[in-house]
Amino acid sequence: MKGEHLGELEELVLLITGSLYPEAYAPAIRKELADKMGRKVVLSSIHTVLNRLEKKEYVKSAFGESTPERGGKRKRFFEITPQGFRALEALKARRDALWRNMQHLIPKLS
Amino acid sequence: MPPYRPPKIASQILSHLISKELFEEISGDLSEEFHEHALKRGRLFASILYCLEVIRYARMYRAERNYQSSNSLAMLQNYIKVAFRNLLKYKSYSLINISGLGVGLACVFMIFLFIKVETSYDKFHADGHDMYRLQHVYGYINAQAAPTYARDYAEVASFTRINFWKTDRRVSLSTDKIYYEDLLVADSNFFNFFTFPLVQGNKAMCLKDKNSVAISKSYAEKFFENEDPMGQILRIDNVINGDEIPFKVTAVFEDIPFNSHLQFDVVLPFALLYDDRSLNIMNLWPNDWIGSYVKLQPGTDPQLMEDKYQEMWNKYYDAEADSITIDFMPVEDLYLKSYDLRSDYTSHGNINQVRIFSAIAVIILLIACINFMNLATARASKRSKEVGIRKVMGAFRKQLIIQFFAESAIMTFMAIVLALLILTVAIPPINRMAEIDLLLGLNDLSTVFTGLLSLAFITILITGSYPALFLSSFQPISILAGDNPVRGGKGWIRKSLVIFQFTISIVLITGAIVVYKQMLFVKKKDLGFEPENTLVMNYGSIESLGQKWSIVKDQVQSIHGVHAVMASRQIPGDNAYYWGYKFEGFSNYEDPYGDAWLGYYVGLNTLDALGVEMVLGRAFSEAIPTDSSAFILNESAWKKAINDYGETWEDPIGKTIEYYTTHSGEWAVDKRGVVIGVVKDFHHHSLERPIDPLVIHNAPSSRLMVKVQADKTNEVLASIEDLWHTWNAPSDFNYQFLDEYFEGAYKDEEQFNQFIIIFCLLAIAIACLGLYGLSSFVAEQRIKEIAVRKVLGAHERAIVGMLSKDFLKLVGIATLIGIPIAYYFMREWLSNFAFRIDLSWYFFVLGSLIASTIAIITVSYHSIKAAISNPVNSLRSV
Repeated sequence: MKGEHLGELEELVLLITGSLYPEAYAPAIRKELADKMGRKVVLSSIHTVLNRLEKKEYVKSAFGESTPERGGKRKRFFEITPQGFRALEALKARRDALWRNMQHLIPKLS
Repeated sequence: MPPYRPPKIASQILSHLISKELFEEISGDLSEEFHEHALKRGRLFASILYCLEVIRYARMYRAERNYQSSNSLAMLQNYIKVAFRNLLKYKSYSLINISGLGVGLACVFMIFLFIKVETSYDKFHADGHDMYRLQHVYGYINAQAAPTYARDYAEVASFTRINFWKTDRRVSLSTDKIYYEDLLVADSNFFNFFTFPLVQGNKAMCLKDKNSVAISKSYAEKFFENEDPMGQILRIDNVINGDEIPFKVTAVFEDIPFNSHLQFDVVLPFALLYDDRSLNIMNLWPNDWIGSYVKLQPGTDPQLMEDKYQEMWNKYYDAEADSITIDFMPVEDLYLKSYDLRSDYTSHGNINQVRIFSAIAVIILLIACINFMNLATARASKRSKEVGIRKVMGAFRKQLIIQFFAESAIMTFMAIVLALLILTVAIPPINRMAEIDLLLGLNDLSTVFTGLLSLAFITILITGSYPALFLSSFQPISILAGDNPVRGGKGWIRKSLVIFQFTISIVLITGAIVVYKQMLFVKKKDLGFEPENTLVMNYGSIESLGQKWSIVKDQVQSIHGVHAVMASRQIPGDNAYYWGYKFEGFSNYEDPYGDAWLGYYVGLNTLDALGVEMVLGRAFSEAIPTDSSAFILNESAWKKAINDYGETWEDPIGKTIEYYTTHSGEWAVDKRGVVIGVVKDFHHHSLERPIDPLVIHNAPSSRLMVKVQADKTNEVLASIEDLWHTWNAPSDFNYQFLDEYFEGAYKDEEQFNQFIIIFCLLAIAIACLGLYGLSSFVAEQRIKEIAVRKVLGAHERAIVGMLSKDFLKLVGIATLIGIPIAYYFMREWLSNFAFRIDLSWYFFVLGSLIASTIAIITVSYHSIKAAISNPVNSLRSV
């Protein structure tokens, strides 16, 4: 299980990669992270995370088109793999289980 | 819209930080974000963000890049480590090397700054390459030359003419704002011709109207403070008849940069000169008085134009005249190359000074570098084992060469740091002493930077080359077998370097002695008059001093402590100007206005009160009314008159002279008078120049001169200041001391000589440092030999002699080479002076003696130390 561990930022990036398909590349992911989650992260962090995820085979990537703003450089689009999806699912399931354990407390806390 | 591009350097750094396969994506992403940020918040902000991002990618460096272990890098680290170890191990030698080189570099850099300031003059004009000033023996020429050139020859694109009124003209706005200024009169295209940018006003129009004036920015602020200067009225003394004329300010120009040969604050239109018909400036060819500049079409050979002058002269003025010449002096070279004109309206530098300083800079650098080489090779015996081991371990010769170059690079950079420290400390006082701003040489940082870098590069190359090539050539077998490679044969290079250094030192010491003696000679020279305790006050105008003269004279004379009261227009140290004089007995001049003689204007009793001796006849006297048009000659003028006009001038008294000038009348006679006396030659200007033949006038004066009792100067000054206000003098109270004023005429030369002496002493000091280091090494190398000799009964004196002898032999050879060189250069240098000392043999003997003494002292310290040391200590060691 240890190798499959997903850090918090890794989880978020993986999730957004899935949700942005087929337009998921680093700057877009960064923007989504800022818009939806209110997290400001530098681009190099996103790249580090994406590389790590790719090494774990949770995402795969392919070069796409280029725009003039990019100085002729192509975009690298990321796509979530089935393994990645399963890892997210597993994480969510474990979390849900924990939520369920807390259910009897919810009326009191909220 | 084209997309914004991120900063190039940052992108390049990025490409080194991350691996190739990631680069395309990441740099693309970053560029995209950069574009967005630039759109939203501006380029600068985006660039900063971009750079910060790039730095962050450093974290991916290790992870993604294949890390190669680099052997060459490790070796380089090792070289540096070894270099520092050596530096620390031989502290005194490192100190000698670095301090010598540091002082040397500081000198060189200071000289570099000086040369930069001096050569920066007049380089800022557009088309500056094609600009020439017409000049001949004076810095000015007749008013016709430039316009005629422009009209007759298509090669001359344009011209402009100027005339300086350097007589402190009065400029006033109201009664409380009065300044005295030099005025520049210039053709209306002046600001189009030269690149002196305007702040306000129109370049082409501002001098068109006769009553317009252009003033400098700081001058406008001085006069009008915050008001708009344009259209204001300034009242200015007219040079022609002394009236005040209103002028309207039509332009304000940027302050003239220090490195322009023309320095002015107020420009009046040239048309003013046409106004006065008596000046008759348009038709007179033999009258040189207008500064004239032409711009030639690009690529025109100025020589061609110079050759046309004769034709022009013949065509328009005098068909018979021959050997009429003119010089086209490039404006960009004017400041340094026109220093030997007989008279000019601008100040000059001297190309010879620049050359001498450059030579000294090279010499100092060479001496410092030779020290370095000598010490490095002397140390070779200690380093030879290291070289041997390195070679055995597989070092290539190339690597060893790199190692030794690296060592000299480290030393050089430490020396540069030291030099910069010295400079920051030394430049402010030197600026004050020399009245030059060396820091102005720093205004163009890129050249200074490249200068410093190339200096470092040259130094490393010279200092590193010999040790690097020599030390790396050792054969490892012979070194490790115990042979000392230094002892065999190769010593001759070191010896010849020492000889070279000492030859230079002897030349420099002798040079310093001669320069010093010449300075002393100039200071002590009898000037032919007594400049001491004489106050000079500028009254402001000739007319008003004339009106008040009898009152002023009586009142000042009655002050306690006043020896004599004089008035004069010119005082010693002033420039005299050439005018036309027709001496009696000769009417067949080529020139209808007589020959050019220097006119010198003094007041009635000035000559006697200043202590100028009469040779013949008498001085001007108030009692004799005709004396107002009388003349006095100086001895040189008398001799010249005999020479030029025949023996009737053997008795000059009572002979008539006609004086022609352009200032009134159409070059007609201004006055006709008789010679009443001859005075002994006195130095009317700097001692560098010979005494010129002078025709001395008795003329109305604008300066009041007072000879005072030395200890009463302050009281007298106070009394005169009180009186000054009652006289209603046009000028505010002011005073100068005549001796200081006169010395001002050759202060530049004196400062220059002082600097030469300082630099010579520094060069010698650096050479001695090297000798000191070298002798200690030799003594150390022979320490066992000395010990054995002592054990066998050698006397200490014999040992000192033995050690010193080697060096003294070298110094002896250096003396033989140095003396003729010194003789040659000093003779050349002295020939610049009109009044000079004779080169005596004892300068050279003294120079050589001083050099040898210094050598003996430096060498004997180590010889004696070696000789008196206990032989047991040196023999016991392994």
